[in-house]
Amino acid sequence: MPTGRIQVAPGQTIVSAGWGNPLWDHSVQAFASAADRDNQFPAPQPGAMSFTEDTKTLWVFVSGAWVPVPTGMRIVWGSVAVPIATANTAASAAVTFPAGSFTAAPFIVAGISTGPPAAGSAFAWPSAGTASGFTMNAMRSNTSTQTCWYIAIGA
Amino acid sequence: MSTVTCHTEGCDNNGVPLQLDLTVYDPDTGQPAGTTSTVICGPCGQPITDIQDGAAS
Repeated sequence: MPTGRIQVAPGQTIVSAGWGNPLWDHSVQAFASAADRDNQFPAPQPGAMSFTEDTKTLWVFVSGAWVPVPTGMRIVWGSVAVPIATANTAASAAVTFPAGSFTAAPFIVAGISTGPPAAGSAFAWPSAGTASGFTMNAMRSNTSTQTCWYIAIGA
Repeated sequence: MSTVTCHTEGCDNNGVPLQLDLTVYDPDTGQPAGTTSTVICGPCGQPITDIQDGAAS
């Protein structure tokens, strides 16, 4: 049950038993992880909030469960070098996003940063994405370390 | 699924375990074709060698 607003009369002494826990429960506490939070904060009231440092996630307690607070659309972009050891054979490199960027696997678009060799081809494509990163794949008609760009869009 | 952790000093991801799917797929068939052998930290650009469970070779 939500405890609601706890009123204080002018001059009333604020003691820890009646005020410390409600204040703690109604503020946003930071924990190392969800497991750490569940251990230290086993009985949150509806509307309680918490922050977990490992995934940089803000949570709200709704209908008996901690739910990530929507943070709106997030965009992460960058590039990654994919070493292509064999011509015309797919090569790959996994790349991580900044921790806490997304709560679910984002939509990813990717491309190759330099054009194909003469009379050849070069292309890149993403696969196997999670909220934490994805695998960049590249193929080229000659060998090289190929720089590939990516844009990840999610929430 | 693998857990990868960057250990580069000063990197925002330093010490944060992240879940990655290192599966690579055959571009012709779309079927799984092993796992990637290279993992790069996006924020700092450094290779990640701390790979647990289903680790890349």
